[in-house]
Amino acid sequence: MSEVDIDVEAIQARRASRRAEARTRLGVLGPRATGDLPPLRELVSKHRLSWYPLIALGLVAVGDTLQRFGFTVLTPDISRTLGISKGTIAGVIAIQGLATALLPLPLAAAVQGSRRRAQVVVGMGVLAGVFAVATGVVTSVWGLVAVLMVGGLGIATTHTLHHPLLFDIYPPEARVRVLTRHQGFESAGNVIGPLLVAVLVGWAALTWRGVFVAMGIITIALCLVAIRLRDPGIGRWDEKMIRRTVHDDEPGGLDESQAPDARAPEVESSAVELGFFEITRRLLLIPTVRRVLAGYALLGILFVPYQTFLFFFLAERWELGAGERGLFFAGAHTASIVSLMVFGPLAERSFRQDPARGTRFAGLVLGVGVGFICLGGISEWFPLTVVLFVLAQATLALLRPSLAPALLGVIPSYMRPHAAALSGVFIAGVGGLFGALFLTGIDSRFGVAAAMVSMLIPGVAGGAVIASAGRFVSDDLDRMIEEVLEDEEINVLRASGAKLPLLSCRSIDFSYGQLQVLFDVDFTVDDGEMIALLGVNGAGKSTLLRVISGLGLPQAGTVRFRGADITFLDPERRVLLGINQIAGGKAVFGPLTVAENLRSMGHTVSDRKALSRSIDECYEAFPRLAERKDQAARTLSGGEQQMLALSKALILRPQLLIIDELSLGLAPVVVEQLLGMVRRINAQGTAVVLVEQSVNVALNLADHAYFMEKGQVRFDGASHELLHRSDLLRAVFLDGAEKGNGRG
Amino acid sequence: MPGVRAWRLASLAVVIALGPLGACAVTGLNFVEDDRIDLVAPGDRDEVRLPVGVQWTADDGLADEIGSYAVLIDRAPPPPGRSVAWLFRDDDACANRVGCPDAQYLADRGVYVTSETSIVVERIPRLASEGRHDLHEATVILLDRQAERIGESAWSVEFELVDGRS
Repeated sequence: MSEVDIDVEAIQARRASRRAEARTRLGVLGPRATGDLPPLRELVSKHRLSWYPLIALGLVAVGDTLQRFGFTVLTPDISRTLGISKGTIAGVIAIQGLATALLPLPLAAAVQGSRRRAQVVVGMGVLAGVFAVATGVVTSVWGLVAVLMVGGLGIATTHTLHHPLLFDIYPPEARVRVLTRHQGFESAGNVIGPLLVAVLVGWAALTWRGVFVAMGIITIALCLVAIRLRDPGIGRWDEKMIRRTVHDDEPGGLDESQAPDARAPEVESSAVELGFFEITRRLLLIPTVRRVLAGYALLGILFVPYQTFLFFFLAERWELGAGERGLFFAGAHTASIVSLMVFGPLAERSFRQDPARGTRFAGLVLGVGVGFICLGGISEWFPLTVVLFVLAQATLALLRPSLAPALLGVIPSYMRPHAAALSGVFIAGVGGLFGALFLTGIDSRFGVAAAMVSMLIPGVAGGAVIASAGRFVSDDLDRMIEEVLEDEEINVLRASGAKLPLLSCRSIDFSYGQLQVLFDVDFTVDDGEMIALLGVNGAGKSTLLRVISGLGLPQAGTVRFRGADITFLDPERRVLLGINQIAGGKAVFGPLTVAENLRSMGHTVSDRKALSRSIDECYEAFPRLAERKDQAARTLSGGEQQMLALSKALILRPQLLIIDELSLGLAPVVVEQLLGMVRRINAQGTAVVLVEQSVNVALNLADHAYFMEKGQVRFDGASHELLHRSDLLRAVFLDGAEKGNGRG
Repeated sequence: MPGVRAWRLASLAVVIALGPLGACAVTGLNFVEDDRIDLVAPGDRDEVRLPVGVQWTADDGLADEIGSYAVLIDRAPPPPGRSVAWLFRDDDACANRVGCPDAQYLADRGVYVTSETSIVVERIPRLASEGRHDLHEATVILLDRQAERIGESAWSVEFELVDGRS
């Protein structure tokens, strides 16, 4: 035992050292990050990068911002030309807002795993430009809705893909500064937008149609500047740098090229690649992501209606005309460009010391920003009002670049577009909708100034929630690093020719809501093995099975099948991989007949003749089922129902069969018959995990046993050794076990 | 099969993307501001009292080309090619009454049709709640001899009613 302990400690020490090295490579240096920051120019030159991607993406973002302004400023003109009421226009804006919030989701799904994200950005930008032109020639309200929705793809692309692309293009030590510069481009768009509208309307005497056509052409031109943009590859810096840690750390320095591809994985990558919904679910299990999204929902209450209410506030309280309002916004966004330039290097240094500072700072920024808005709302002196709103804009502009490195940094690269898309849904879809209702109510009851002041509530609450995400960032970053390290270590093992276990669960934590029921559980099954999983009621056995079969998703840890990560794979996809579970006491469809149950079990078998043969085998193995094949399953006895359930293994012939409580409440004769079948299935090569409360049943059958207590694995070893652990097998078990042993 | 599916999806995306273009036109649209009319009174964001005089000047010869002007208070005009009656197409009571909508009906709803270059508005319902700026908008459009809107041109001015309303 002591030898094993030493090995575990050595492995843990090596893992900790690799994790620390990986953190450094990701630009997180901790307290020692006190030195000078390498200048951005130097980093770009050192890594043979160029400014072009940042400028190209920035210009595409400017194009999107221009159009947004065009619609906001020219709404009354559109209403007059097309003969549609302001209420209808408000409806159109709401539909467009909803589309802009939801479109990032299918977009994230479409680019999942794609190496053409850059081309998608340019293509969607051009499409948005084309539809801006189309907005200028639209002749009906439905046409307007349609072109604005499709045109929203441009904004959706900016929200979904720009940050993930910048993360993959520029090295971690430059990210915060790169993001602030990108945000600077967006702010520049907000400065140029109103000025451009003013010039096109005032100087060029264009109507709203002319303005949209001109803006569309400008957008297309800006996107064409980005035409040479290429996708750098997903996870170019993060995952690859973390993976390299493993190779640099190997004795003798393992050649990186030989590891991952030297031996093909035993499971097709397409069979275990996460789909859109699987990724979304997985993201929502990351505490930092969950907390930030909750903060975003509150933020949306403030941000989405803010611009509109500010327009009304300036018009009603200070009687500013359209041109003056445009100048006001241009000035405020100019201030935000200055604040971004000052903020970039400071935030970079701070992030390198502690990535959690980004979220805390973002929370502070939000609180301070809405404080300025609130004071601006009650100020009686116009110059002070201007100063306060300029300060608010300058402060709030820092929000995204301070949050993004922490939020996107703790999740795997290929999931970043999904996280960015979810952010949009929570801001605009959840918060925006509620915010519009909330602030409209305040406005109609107490006036627009009160609406501005009331933004303090969601702003401060959102700031507090976002700031509180800081306490999860470090752990989530480590977990992401751990997952990649583990994956690469398995690649190395595979390359070395080592045999990987059929199933391995590592460091599994699982909670039902706030109640944690699994704690750091390790569980391994080899090919053809028969394993007994024992424990008292509530020990966590069935929960562990749910995690293995995909019915429950763990908060921490990994589940691997032949080395492939299946932790977040849907249950039905695990069935296709060869993992089958027979749930205790409820494994048949009661209203269906025996024959129908057997056919439904084979729904994944495409060869109908083979299925019929398998069903015949079941009848042969369990003649009682043949006698009752037209009888509803609920009318069968408990033993017969278990026979029917066990037939699933005969039909699907899984690689891993998990049986939960096979013997519960059954007569010994029936149990013996069922166990015979389990032995037969195992002898044919299927690994079996048998969950039992009956120690004698389990230990008679299995060579290897796990014992769980209070959500932890307390024993992992040979079955006969477990019999000597009286500290684990309490009287009730021992009694049964000794009887069983005597019999066997 | 994945290739076929991708092509189908791409085709669907193209149809969805290009479909809205069917709602677009390239002729009869105003891309440059129409300055044939100049609104003289009230001035932009002027504070005014009831009755409000709305006055404009028109280019020489415009009066001969058109049938009349329509002035709409706080109301979006009808789409090009439609008459002002179109705005009240859902009013069944009016539809069943001979001669409706007449001038009084329209005036009650903030719509005035005239061949002159000015009108006087006697009554404007308050839009804002008490204590807030009561902003209104007057819009002038051109009608042909069938009283249908000519083109997309519209000229508007925003003004504030201070008191003395009905």
